[in-house]
Amino acid sequence: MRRLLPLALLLSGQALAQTAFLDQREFSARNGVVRVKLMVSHARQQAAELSVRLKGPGKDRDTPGEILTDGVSIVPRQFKIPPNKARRLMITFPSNVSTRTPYFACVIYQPPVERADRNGSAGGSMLLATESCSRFWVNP
Amino acid sequence: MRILPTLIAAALAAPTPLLAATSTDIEAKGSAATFCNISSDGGPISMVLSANGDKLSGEGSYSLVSNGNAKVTLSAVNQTSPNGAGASTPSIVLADLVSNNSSSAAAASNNSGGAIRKQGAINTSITENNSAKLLSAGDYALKATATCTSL
Repeated sequence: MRRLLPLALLLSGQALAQTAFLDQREFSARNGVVRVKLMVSHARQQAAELSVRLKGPGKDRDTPGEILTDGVSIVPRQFKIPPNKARRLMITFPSNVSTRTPYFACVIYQPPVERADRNGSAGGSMLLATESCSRFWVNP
Repeated sequence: MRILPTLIAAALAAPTPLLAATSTDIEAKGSAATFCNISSDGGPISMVLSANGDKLSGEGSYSLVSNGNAKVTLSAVNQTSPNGAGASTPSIVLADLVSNNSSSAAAASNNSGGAIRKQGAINTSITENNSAKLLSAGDYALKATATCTSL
């Protein structure tokens, strides 16, 4: 996967976003535990603080659901990373699914909050966090 | 003995059977991981009050890159308003992609296929929803998360 990452970074080009790369999309539990390796990178101009999280199935198989935390280990879960560098991570979580089930490995960037002095008038700001998820499947 | 140098020279000059029989097959293989990402252009988008005081609005931009099937979702919008403020309604629009004005439910784009590189505007607003038709003075903030999922 290391050889493929430069290509993927090149393809992602001028986008500033962080990306979660999975080279494998099908997993099975061993001794009741699923182990997922992924790589994370971003292309911002400066080092960025990223957080990784695991989501379960949502309203359909294409939509990420709730963030899963019970028994979930993500190493590292949160880290600062320079631009265009790849960081390897490992997600492990318990699973005893009876049918092929979608999960989502996600990396999120929260932009820093800035507050402006509005001198009592009405004013506002909108903060958009951006998240990149990759779907994978866990088989019984 | 005179013939020996001649035989050696002839042997060296002759085509080497090994080289003559060699052929080389070059084979290159690769596989690109599927990915999808979305970003906005930096930090918070400032929203300013309209002339008649009924609406805050601001504009930014987003960039979407995907090399396979993907879907974008926009989370429920989290709004904070000044204490005692009149009712108002938030809205976040990622142009030509997905929009949401709900504080309780996420919104999703249609699934996309193939490679996409797309840029568009982010339009964000808070509009009064009260009998005075005005936004109360003070600081307002909207928060949401745009998620691009590689399928």
